[in-house]
Amino acid sequence: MSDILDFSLEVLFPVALVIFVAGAAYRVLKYVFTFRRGVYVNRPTGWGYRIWRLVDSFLHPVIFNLKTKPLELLNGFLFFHILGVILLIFLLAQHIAYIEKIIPFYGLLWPLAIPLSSSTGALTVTSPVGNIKFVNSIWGPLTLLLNGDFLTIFAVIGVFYKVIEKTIEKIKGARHVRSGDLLIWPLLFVIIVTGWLTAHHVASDMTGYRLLLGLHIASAALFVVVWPFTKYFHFIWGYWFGKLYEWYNLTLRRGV
Amino acid sequence: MANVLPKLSPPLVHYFEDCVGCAACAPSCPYYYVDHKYAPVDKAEFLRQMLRSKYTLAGKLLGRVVGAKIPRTDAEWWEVMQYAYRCADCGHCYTTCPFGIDSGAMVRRLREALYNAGYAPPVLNELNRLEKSGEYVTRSKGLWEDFVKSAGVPVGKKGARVLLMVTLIDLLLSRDVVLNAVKILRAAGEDFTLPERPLGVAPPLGAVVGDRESLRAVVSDIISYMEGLSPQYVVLISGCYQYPYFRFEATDVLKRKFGFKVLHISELLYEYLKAGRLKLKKLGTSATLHDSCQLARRGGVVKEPREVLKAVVNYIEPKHGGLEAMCLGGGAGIALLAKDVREAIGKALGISAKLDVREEKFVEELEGDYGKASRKGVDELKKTGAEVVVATCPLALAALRASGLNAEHFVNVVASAVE
Repeated sequence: MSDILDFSLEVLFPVALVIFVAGAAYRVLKYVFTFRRGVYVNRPTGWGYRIWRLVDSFLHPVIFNLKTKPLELLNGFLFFHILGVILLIFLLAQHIAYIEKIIPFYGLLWPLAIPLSSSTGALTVTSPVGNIKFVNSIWGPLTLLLNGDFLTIFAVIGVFYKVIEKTIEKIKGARHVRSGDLLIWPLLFVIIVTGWLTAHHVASDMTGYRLLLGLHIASAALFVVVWPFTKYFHFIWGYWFGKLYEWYNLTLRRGV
Repeated sequence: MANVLPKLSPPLVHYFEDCVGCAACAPSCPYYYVDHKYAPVDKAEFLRQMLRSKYTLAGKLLGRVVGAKIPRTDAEWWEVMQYAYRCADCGHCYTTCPFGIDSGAMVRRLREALYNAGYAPPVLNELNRLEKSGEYVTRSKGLWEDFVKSAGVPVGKKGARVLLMVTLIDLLLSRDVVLNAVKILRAAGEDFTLPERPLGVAPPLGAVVGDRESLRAVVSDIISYMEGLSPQYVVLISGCYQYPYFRFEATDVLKRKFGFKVLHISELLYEYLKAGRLKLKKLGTSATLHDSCQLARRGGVVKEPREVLKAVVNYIEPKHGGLEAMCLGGGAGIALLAKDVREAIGKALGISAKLDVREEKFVEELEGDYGKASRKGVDELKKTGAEVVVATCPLALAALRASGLNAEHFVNVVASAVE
């Protein structure tokens, strides 16, 4: 274990995964242990209607937000969630390369890989060892937008927008802005910035590069640790449970 | 103090732990337009703060630092009451929440915490007491006998196909509607009966003020009475919270199924139309429908009142109807606190409408906010240009009329078209 990179990869990340699994199990098992069977008289509805209502349950908040809070939808949902976080985490070529080493079939996503830059699809290291791999995805001209640099900008805009929005709301006295909200955003910011600096080989020597990559993975490990105990868990559980339960409650049970 | 809080259940765990505070729900609440501090997410946050204190380690150890707080003083509980009674439980924030968090359900639980701590608006509290004890029956005896005489139909008839559920509020605020419902049932040749007494004041008021014991006792009493008559259908005139409670929640409250089916009168009339049992003439007026949040959004009765109305008027669909109905802000007992309504009830039941200074201020401010909250919905209905706005709930009807609209109850409109 010569440096922070090795320490992050060999110690921090495995420990983080264990904490994540324990935390996630704790969160999910609460639902199991607080369950009590109810007695309900369901109103029958057709499957076509049920399926439409399932889609509408997920779609309705997006449409409502588009009409009532378009800026929030643009920044919070599109820039931040879709472009800035989801695509960056799951489809950035560097991330696919890394995840493929752990989960081999993840390599099936290579055709969707997003290159780091709009000008080159090369997936390189500072001193290439062996063959240089090029990202050859289906995006074509869309890589002008769908590239790591642009998506990082969206993610940073999204983080800053949320931090400023939450701070203003807190000052105005909004009760739903909690202390934890203000702590998790800097963590995301550190992950994004260290990742971008690493991928661009900003450090001129191998020690600096390994330090930056080590910090990127260490901060990502910290994210994995806090994941089940913060609002970040919504991506794993809350969002899906919430909308599916709403659908069950309103449509399957009440026929709404 | 922690024993004032509800026990966790899977939906409550979700509403408690999974809110990300995005406030996407805010514009769906009529009280958000009265003051932004009444956004659903912020009202529900009072309960989340309390639950953190009871159910999380961080909350127990760090308290307010992690947003965990149970009110300690009388002033703090009164502040919570201000928020908890600025929610009509209309369910709009439920469907506009990207996470399916039912803030109305959270506020219902918040009212339970308030009630357990000894806080409820005095008028609602007194009505709940009368309903829970059954005292409302003796207090309204003369009123009921007079009504039954004027209705001139079977009362307490066992085995009738339809039992028309009449509450004291139905009778006090819309006696004409009940009599017109009787007229329609007669015209359809229905085998029906009225109950021998009003079935609750506005049941279950325990659900409104957060008294779970009362909720259970009242639902049990009313369901037992209904089962004693063994009808095939129990038909409700009100489109308010009675519908989802008796249609969907009562079986879970009593943990057993019943031998009858609960319908709103619009559902029954729609069945008559389909079967050709009811002949209706066209009235030549244009009308739009103000959907009751409880009947439409929480109850799913959307098509039926529209189809019946289309048979009698030139129907105009409002911009936001059905599942997207604009809430007027009077649900969950708020409309019962409006001065005219509470005085009418007080007079009929012989209860004092006298309030102390703080209570007086509370209901006056709430009534003012209720008026403001209804404006958005009222303006939208005005824009339809319809000659008549049709409502399915007497309390909504009162609010619409107070806003200067020519409003009429659904049953009265249909009754005037009966040939």
